[in-house]
Amino acid sequence: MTASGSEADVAALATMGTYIQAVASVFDTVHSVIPAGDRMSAWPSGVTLSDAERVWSGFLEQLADQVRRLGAAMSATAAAYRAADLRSADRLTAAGVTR
Amino acid sequence: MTITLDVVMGTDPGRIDAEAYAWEAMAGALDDATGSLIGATRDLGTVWPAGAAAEAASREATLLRAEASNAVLPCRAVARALRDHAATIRALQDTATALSAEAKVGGYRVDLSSGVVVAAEGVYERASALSCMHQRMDGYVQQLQGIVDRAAESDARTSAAITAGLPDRRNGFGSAPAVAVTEDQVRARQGRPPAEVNLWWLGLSPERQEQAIRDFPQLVGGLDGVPCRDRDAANRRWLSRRLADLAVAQDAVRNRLPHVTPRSGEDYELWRRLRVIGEELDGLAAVRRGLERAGAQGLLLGVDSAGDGRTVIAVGDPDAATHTAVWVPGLGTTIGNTRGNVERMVQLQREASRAGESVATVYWLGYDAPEVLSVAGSDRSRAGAAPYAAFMQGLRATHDGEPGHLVAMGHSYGSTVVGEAALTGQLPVDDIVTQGSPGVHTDRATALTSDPRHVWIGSSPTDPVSTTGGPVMVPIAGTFLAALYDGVHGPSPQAPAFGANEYDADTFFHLRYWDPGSDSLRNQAAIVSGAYSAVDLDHGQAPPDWPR
Repeated sequence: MTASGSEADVAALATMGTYIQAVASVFDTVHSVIPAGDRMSAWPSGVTLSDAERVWSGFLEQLADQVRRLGAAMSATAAAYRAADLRSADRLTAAGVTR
Repeated sequence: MTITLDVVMGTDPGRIDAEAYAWEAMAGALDDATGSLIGATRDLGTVWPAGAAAEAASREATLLRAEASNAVLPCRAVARALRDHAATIRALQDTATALSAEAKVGGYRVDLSSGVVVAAEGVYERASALSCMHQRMDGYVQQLQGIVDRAAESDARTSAAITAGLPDRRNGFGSAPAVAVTEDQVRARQGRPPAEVNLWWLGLSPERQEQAIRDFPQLVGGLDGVPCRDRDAANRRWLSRRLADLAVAQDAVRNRLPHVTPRSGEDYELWRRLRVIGEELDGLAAVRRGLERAGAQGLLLGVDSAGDGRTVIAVGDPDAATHTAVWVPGLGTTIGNTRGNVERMVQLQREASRAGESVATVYWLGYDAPEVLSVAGSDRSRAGAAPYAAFMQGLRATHDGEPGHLVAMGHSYGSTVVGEAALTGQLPVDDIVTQGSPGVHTDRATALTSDPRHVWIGSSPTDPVSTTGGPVMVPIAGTFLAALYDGVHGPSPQAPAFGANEYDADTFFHLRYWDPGSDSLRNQAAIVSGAYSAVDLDHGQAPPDWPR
């Protein structure tokens, strides 16, 4: 889309941005299905598992954050297009181009 | 940290299983979130097609889709490793317990906490036992050590699997797209056992699953063992695409018609093609109307317009439902009358869900139903048995969590298909239900299932197809049909001698077993929801209710 993108495309981009930010929130909750507590503490693999949970948690947080930033960028771009369009309309009105 | 016999015996494998379930749930949640991300960003290039920012966003979306997608299988692999570890520990505990019991019989006591083996006093008093005492005790100690060693190996394997499944904090498992699924790979799964197909499908990353659905929708949509929601996505995609292609082809032929010489050979050929296109369009439009009748709960589990057409439509999600009934229609059914048959499944699902049970009902036209002249033959029922059994095996393979309650149902000739499938021994169902059956190719319920209390026969007193020998409203037709069917499809299953339960069916004639408010529908719904004790029986004995 360029600055002359259609209103429908801008609206679709805004909706997509909002939805992707909602998807980011879903990624945030993915790790919460692992309950807290140490159930295999007597086993070496239990220790490995506890470490793995921390690493996965960090990765998923990072992933959610990146998804959220992409969605926010799309929403911001859509808002910027709308603002630019309004400014152009104001300038045209001020210049007496529109009646 | 050292693995000892005390650790092996003191561990509750159920706790390791609980970890496995949690990781499987995490993989499932990640899979779902990735699916949402793929769906949300698929059309990004359409609404934001050009410019540096658009390209950057598109690149980032592609990387994120791949990163999220590539993480699902490693997560699932951790769950699998934990599940295997739990099973190994459970088996080793059983072995140790059996060893202890065996030793006790020989006069030895094995302490399963410390691993110490002692001989009872009696052993010292028997010279014959004394001579081999050390050998026996060493044997027990070595076996116990073997158990500990195998537990340690399992633990090391599990640790290695967990470590192999560790994501890099920055980009997880990388953003390289997995190798695309090819048409040959999908075709190679056709006809394979559904459990095997299911394993293959779950071994694909979400991106690859999405690609397979996008590129080969009809093949994926027809594969037993692919989860129902994925089949639905594939079949809907194929249906939309096919309807659009047919509409274009129809326009193209219509545009040519004015330019051909009337009654020329080309003219007739174009009219013939127009008719063929129109018939396929009508059939697929009928499938779409049936799907619309199923509403928001509808899942399109199969569709094909070849021949008389095939379609499978679920009301509710069979993978998630506690109870699923899969119903086979009979004589004269084509995809043209999909909506009316789905209506029956809507009524059955509504009635069976009334007590709050989670129920899915499925309309299964996965075979070429007979016409009037072929209804007295067995070719169609035999041909339908294998695909029906495979479909049911697929539902067993794709069901979430604990196995659900699966019910096979057939109306009229459809019951003959169900009977034929059951006789193969490959139909993995809990109950078999018929309505207006002309016969199921056997004279005893025990040939269909090991417990005949789970075979349920419905026959309206005014149904000329199923009612034989008794007073029917159409005695001439009834007697004729009975004689015809008894010779081909076996004796009527509602006869007490057949050994099944006959539920009360109060609806009129042959086609109204699903009338709302009827005993026919209420009794079928009670069977489907496992409330067997609520079924009104004309004869037979209800089994205990399905566990809640």
